[in-house]
Amino acid sequence: MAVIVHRKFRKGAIVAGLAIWGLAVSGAIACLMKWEFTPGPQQAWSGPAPIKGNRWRLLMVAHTECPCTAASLEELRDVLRRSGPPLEATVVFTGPDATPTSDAANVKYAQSIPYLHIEFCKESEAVTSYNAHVSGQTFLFDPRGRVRFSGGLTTTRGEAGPSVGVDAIVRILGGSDETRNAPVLGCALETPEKNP
Amino acid sequence: MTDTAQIRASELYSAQREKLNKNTDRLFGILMPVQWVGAIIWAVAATPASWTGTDSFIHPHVWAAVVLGALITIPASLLAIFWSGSPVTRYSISVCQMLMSGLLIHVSGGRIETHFHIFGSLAFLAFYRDWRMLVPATLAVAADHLLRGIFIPWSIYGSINGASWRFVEHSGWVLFEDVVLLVAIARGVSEMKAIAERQALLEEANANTEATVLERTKELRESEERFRAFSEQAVDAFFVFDRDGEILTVNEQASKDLGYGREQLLRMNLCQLEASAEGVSPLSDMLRAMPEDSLTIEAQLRRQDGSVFPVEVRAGQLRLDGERRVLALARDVTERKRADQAQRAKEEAERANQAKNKFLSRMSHELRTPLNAVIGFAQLLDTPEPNDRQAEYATYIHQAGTHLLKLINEVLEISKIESGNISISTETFHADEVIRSAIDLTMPLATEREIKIDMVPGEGERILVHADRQRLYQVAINLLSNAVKYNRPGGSVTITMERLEQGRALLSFTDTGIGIAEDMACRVFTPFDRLGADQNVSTEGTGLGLSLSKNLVEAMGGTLTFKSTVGVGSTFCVDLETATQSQLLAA
Repeated sequence: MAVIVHRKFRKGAIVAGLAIWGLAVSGAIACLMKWEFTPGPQQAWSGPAPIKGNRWRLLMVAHTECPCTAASLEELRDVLRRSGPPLEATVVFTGPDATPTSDAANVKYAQSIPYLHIEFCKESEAVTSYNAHVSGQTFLFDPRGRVRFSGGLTTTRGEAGPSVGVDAIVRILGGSDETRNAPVLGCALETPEKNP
Repeated sequence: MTDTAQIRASELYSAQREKLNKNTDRLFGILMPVQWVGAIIWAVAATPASWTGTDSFIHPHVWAAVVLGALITIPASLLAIFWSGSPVTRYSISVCQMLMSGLLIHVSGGRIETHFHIFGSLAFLAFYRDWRMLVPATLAVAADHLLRGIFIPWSIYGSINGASWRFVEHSGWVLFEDVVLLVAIARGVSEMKAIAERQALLEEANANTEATVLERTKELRESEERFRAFSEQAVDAFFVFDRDGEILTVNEQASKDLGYGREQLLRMNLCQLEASAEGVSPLSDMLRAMPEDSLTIEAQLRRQDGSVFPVEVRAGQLRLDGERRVLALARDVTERKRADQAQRAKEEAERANQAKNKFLSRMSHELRTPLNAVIGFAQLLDTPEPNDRQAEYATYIHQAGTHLLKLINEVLEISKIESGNISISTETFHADEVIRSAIDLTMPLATEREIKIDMVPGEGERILVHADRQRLYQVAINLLSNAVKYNRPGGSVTITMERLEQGRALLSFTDTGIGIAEDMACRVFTPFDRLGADQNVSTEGTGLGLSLSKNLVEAMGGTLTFKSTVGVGSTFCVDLETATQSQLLAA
């Protein structure tokens, strides 16, 4: 009898342990996934009126150090490769060491992308001038200065690959008359205010 | 294979599998923490921080590597360390190892190269040599790819392109490796079973060999005990010698016979025990020859007190420890020798008694006949004037009386010699003078039998001897009369004289008679033993002549010997001392 009880107890302990362990693993994965899939605040363009002309213009606001932004820059390179020179693209870097001489990996990578203009601004300027709050925030302007796309180029943080944003841009540049928004996943551009 | 061996093989296989499971569990117990640390390092290197403006904080991938890695690694490692060998441990490790692959793929941003970790993990799981370990691992991989392929394909494939079919492709490659590993596992299991069977057979063979050795050892011990009992109970002394004569084994009887302690004997050599007779050592000679066949020899051994006793040794060769040895059984034959001597003495006495009886019988006849003649002719002569016939009878009486007198004299001489009362009167004289006188006396008998007597003088001067003239004359008459009596009709007798070295002279009497058989040679000089009677030779005699002659010659300091060939003849040789210069001067 004692042996049977012992076996039952052991079996129960194993099942309980496995259940607890499974819950813990699932919880950890859920937390990770929540972070991976949670976009930043969606904002409309608040900058100056784009210059009108015959060219499409693309503007991305990026954080110099955000590791997630590397995937956005990679997607940007893909967009430029597919669209060609008629698209005038600019990346505005903000964050620590947002200067032309910065050694940040994102800046170095951006400098290697052909036909890409690179600009630098202060954190407050990025927010106030472009109303951008998340690194990777991208705007597409048509030749008449209208915002045709606003959002991110990746579907999750730091993961390159086909995304809603890239697909939308490619379609719009291809002649679609749609106007699209997409979530932006990346590091926040604003430094939280610290309590005195 | 026997049932016992099969059961044993099954036990060995189970033990080997349990050992393999525990060792593989411990391997993963080390491997998984290493992977965990690797995942953390990778996350820190690839995505060390996330940013908010100018503020940075630890990147969630790093936290994922730490926390999720801990949740995957620690339980599996603890199970591997503290509960190794348990099925729960193995299955847990199988699942956790594949989750670790998923984590690494995730923190690497779905790099395709990281997928090789899956294949490596499956290969490691194959160390268990249990196909069942591949099932949960494969299911975990498939589930991971399926779910992430549906919801976050870029996290596992690096992009969302072809997420629907890449799950199938990835799972296909995993299944392909599973098939390869299953073949390898099947072979491994087959080899383990074969090794277990061989081990079981080997153990069985060893057990059988050990049993056989024990049985043989028991038999050998019993044989040794029988041998020891036999040797100890034997009435003969028992020895084992090596080729050099060193004593290797003795029994108690050997110790008793020789007077040495057993330990003393084991330190001795045969040459210390054997008493050589006239330079001959039969036992040592036999040992040197090392004969293949057993043989029986007679030898003499020396006791510790120095006394020597005769032994009859039965010896044979045997092999001990691959070396040739000699086994010898020595029997003390002292009593038997004594008995033999006594028997021979008895037979000798009986023969002498028989001869004496014959003599007495013959003497009875020999004495009566001449006495009857003397008495009868004496009655016939009982007249006043005897005529010619009576005179002839008187001659017969004289001859018979003379013969009777000679017989009585010889008997008296023998008696004197046997009692040691013989008197020898030596002088220096020419031997040929005495020989010629004897020839003259014997010549009538020789003439009667047509036997020629020749005397061959020695070269150079005549031989002077220093002896008793009358005794030598008596000896010469005896030898000559025998040479004539036992000769063939028309035969010859030759007498030679020669000077020997060291002041000796040799007189030889050679006849052409019947000769003396070799087996009778020992009886030639026996008193009253008439060989002629045994050889059916009808000659008269007392059987005292040669015995008397030999004793007389020896009394004069000489020797009387003979050599004979049956049917050819005999030669009797008298060896005498020649006269010295001082004897010559005295003469």
